[in-house]
Amino acid sequence: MSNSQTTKRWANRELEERALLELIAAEDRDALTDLYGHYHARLFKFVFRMTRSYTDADELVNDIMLAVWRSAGNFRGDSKPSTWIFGIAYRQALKRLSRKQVAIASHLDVDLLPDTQSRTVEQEDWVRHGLETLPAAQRLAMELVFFLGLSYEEVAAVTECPVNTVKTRMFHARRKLKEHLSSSASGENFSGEVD
Amino acid sequence: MIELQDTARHDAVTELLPWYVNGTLDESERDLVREHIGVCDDCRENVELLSHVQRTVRNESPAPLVPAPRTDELLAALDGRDHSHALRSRWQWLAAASVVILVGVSSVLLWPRGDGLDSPTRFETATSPASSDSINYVVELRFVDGVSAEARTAIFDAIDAPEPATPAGKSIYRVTLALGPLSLTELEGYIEGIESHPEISTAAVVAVQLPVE
Repeated sequence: MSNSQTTKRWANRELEERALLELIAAEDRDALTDLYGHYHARLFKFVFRMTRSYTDADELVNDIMLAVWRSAGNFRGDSKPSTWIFGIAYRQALKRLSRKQVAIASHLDVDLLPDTQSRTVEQEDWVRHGLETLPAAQRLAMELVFFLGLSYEEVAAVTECPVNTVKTRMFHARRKLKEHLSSSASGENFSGEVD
Repeated sequence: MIELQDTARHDAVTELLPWYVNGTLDESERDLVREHIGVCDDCRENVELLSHVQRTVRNESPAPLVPAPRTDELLAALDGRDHSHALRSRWQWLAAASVVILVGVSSVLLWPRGDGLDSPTRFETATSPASSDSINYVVELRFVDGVSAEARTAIFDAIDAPEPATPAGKSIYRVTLALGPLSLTELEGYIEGIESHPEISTAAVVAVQLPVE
């Protein structure tokens, strides 16, 4: 498919989603079902990355779609529907994590693991575990940028933060990842080779 | 070394690096970054780091099984009907129901045949290669907060599962159990048995490994 065809296809999808949101605002259940079908897998993968729990992710997807149903009338159309929907997903995931006191930052503290286990963690994948040591807001920013591929304006819209805040979060997240790398006993470099 | 007059440019570029890596900068920003990383070792190293992060995040597949949309439950929730219990237990029931189906399928694959076909020699699975000839169940165990390493090890010993080297999340461990074909009742009983340990918050089957030819 050519670039222009791809662009047209995505533009059509965006128009379709805007129309669906208008219908949902008018309490059209079929429109909600259509939108649910479009987003279910993407939302599940996104929130699963946050919660690392099938049960939580499964429940969250429907919670998110319920929130879409209730607030579709508030969609002003000044952002893409996907940005608006993932904004809801972001807030729902944060709320769930906060309620369960499952701070992403404390998912794994390699310093607390037994020595051999700690070494295994570091050797297996320091990036993944480095991400899990980040504070929730920084981790979520990383996921929005690298998993969903959002621009900084889109991340700002999703998180309802100024662009400068988004940039600062990413700056601190990167710095912490570098510190995590530095503290790694195995010292893998960015190519995955062992020094 | 960055010259003093380049500091402002360096700072501006540093902030843009994540979006240079994910390809969402506009052309002028992209040119600015590209030009700068040609002369700045620090920013070039950060681009490598962030590229590695992006590859990891995009290649990682922590959710190999995406459940089917639960449209009926969503629409029921619009009417305010309480499905919270169904939501909570859905994964356990889904896992149990899948076992019923899979056991039926596996019986075709596992059981001795009279047509002279060779026995199955390997597994095919959605999550990882299996190394034995029995049916394996991948069980996600969520421990309650504050469980000691010794108590955790005792649980793994009790269910005859090797202790995973790494948790899947905070207090969450996935173990692969070679239990053989189980009926729905047997599987539910087994999971409930695990959950009866006070150290366990929840237990759920998240994948089943079957032998295939």
